[in-house]
Formats: sequence, structure tokens, C-alpha cells
Amino acid sequence: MVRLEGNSVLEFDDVNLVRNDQKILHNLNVTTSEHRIGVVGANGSGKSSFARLLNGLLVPTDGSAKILGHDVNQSTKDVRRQVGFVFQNPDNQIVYPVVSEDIELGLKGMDIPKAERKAKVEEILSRFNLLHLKDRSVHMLSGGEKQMIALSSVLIMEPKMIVFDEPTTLLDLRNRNAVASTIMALEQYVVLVTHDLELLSEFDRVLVFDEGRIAADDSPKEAITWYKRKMAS
Amino acid sequence: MDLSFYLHGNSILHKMPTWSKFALLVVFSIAFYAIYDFKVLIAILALVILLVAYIKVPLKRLKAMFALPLFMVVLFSIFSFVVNDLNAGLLTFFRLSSLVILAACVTVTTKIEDFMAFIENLLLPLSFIPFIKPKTVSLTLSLTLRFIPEIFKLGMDIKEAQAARGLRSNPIALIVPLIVLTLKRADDISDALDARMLD
Repeated sequence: MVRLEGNSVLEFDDVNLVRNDQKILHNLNVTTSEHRIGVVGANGSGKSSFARLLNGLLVPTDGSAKILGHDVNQSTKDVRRQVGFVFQNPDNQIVYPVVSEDIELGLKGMDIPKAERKAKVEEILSRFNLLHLKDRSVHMLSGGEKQMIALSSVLIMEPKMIVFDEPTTLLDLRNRNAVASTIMALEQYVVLVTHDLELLSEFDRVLVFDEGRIAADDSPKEAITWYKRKMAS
Repeated sequence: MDLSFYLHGNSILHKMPTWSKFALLVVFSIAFYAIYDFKVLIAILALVILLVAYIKVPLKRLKAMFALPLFMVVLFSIFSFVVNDLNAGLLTFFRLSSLVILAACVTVTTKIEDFMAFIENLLLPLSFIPFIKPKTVSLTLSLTLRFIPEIFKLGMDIKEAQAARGLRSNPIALIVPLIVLTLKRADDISDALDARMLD
């Protein structure tokens, strides 16, 4: 994994986002180059919309958003190719009924021979000790297993960055810990939107969203202290 | 509720290409209707039952796979008996039973992925028609197979939540939230498809 040493990973310049005549994000200006960025904020503060901008699922109404050097408005496909997205509910993300088939799905559009695709699927499942789930029906899996399968289906595409939108919200403690340690071991750039503040303690930087604005941007300790104080007031 | 019936195995049927299994199924379906000799039809039924044993389908799976189709076969046979005669009823029973069991053998030995690839290839000659996109059709079928159990579970959850609030079973009270939640779910799935570049 090659990181863009010294270059900007996210570059937001006066980004505004309006949806259904409602302004969701206001004049976002932020540039990051760190490996792991945490995003916190109250419900409806705009953090999930921010996450969706990073993958091109939403595009700015005005302003410029560059992800890994690609403009979200102009090169949405390039952005999507390089940025994986893990949703809160893996049930919405897993498309095929059988685990191996779902993980392989993304590779099918890439002209990779079938044998190589199969080998890649086995490799990614082995990496997370999930090879025994290869031929299982998706709906028979536990929440934690589903989340790991969703992550595997993203990782197999070898993205440079992965955006997680509250990936541990629906998980029990054991599965939450498994997903958390997997995120911490990733070589890719990570942007993690979460309410689980403990997850962010070893992150490089945390952005706190409030009413569609970045209200705090600091080290995890400082940002989380600010956020807790804000939530208590 | 499991709609993925594939069973691991190394049988000849497992190894055969998907197109050849479906081609054989079509050929057999036509051939069965050309046979009027009960001895031959009973022998064919015995052979397809042996095929099930050869593929080693577990008993639990057998019930899930055959209960509804065989019930339908019995209904059709009774209908044929009432409308025609006993001979026609028995012919319908033996022909359809063999066919249903044979089709089930193809189902349990074919991975969904291979089935989808087969559908895609089958539709390829029609892809010049603007609204027929083989990849989209195959993805739609996959999504259907994937989400029928999920929607079923969603319905059970709604029913349970209503029962917990003391509401009696009411189809309208079930269907309305089920439709709303399914539409919301469809929206989320559409986002996920976009994120995975499957648009």
C-alpha cells in the first residue's frame, strides 16, 4: 500500500451541500493527509452526508471536494474506484445470496480471469479467518460476520481509502472489538464516522460536526473532550 | 427461509457446465411428455430418486425443496384425473414428479453465480433490445434471491413488534409499514450498489 506522503487525501474547499431544499453542510474547509480520521457528531449533524461525499454518493452543491486528488464532481468514477464504503447495516451492502459470490462481484467488472478472482476471494477470507463462511448463505450469518464480509467485499477491490459509516452500531461487544481491531490494522486511509468514541482513541485526527459545520478539528483527546462538553451542555 | 439451495459435492451433475444441465432438463421435459408407458415412467421416477440419493441431499433439505412442488404436482394430478380420467391423472403425476425432482437436482448442483452467468449468456443475443441488459437482469435476479428472506424477516419483526404492543394480527397494519420499510431499504441498497460501482 502506497500512501500519498505529504499530499492531501481530502481537500474540501468551501463545500456546501443542499438536499431537498435543506442545507445539510455549510462551507466545509478541511484538508487532511493523516492515515486515520475520525468523524463524530450528534444525529443529523451532517457527518453521514460528509462521508457520502467522500465516495461520490453525494456531490457538493457548490465548492470543491477532492479525494485522493480526484474532484468528486468531475471524476466520480475515479473516486469510487479508490474509495471503498462500509455502511452501518451490512445487510444493505451485501448483494449476492452467497458469501463468496458477493465478495467476487466487484471483481467481475475488472476483466480478471475467473480462477484469479476465486483465489483473491479465498485470500481475503483467509486473511480474516472467514474461509469457513465461503459458501454460506448471507442471511444465515451473524451481524459481525456480515460486517466482516461487507468489509472484505470492499477490501478485495484494493481501495486506497475506506470510509466507514457507523460500522459497529449494530454489533455486540465481541463483534465490535473484532471490527475495531480490523480497522486499526488496515493499511488504507481510513475515515470512520462513529458514535463509539473509544474507537477513535488511537486515530490521528478527529473532526466534530455540529449543525452541518466542522465545529472542532483536533487530536482525538482534545476533540472528544470538546464534543462531550458540547453534548453535556 | 433459505433460497440458496446449492449443495457442495463432486457428482457428475456438479461438474457439468450449467448450460448442459439446463439443455438436458429441456430435452427430458419434452421427452417425458412423449412417453405413455407406465413401466417406463415409473422406472424414470425411480432413476431420478436414485439421482437425489447419489447427490446426497440431506433429509432436512429434501423436505424444504420438495414439499411445495410435490403438493402442486398432486393438485395438478387430481385436476387432470377429475377433468380427464385416472390414466391421465397418473400420467401427470409421474411425468411432473420426475420433472420436479430432476429440476431440483439441477438447482442443488448449480451455484447461483453460475446460474446468473448462464442467464446473462442466454440473454446476450437479445442485448440489442434497448431495455434488455443481461447484467442488470442477472443482478436483479440475485437481489431478488438475496432479499426475499430479508423482507420475510422484516415482516416477522413488524408482526412481533405489533404483538408486543398488544395489537391483533391485521394485514393492513403489517403491509403498510412493510412497504415503507422495504422502500427505505431499497434506497439504502441503491446507495450501496452505487458505492460498489454496480450502477
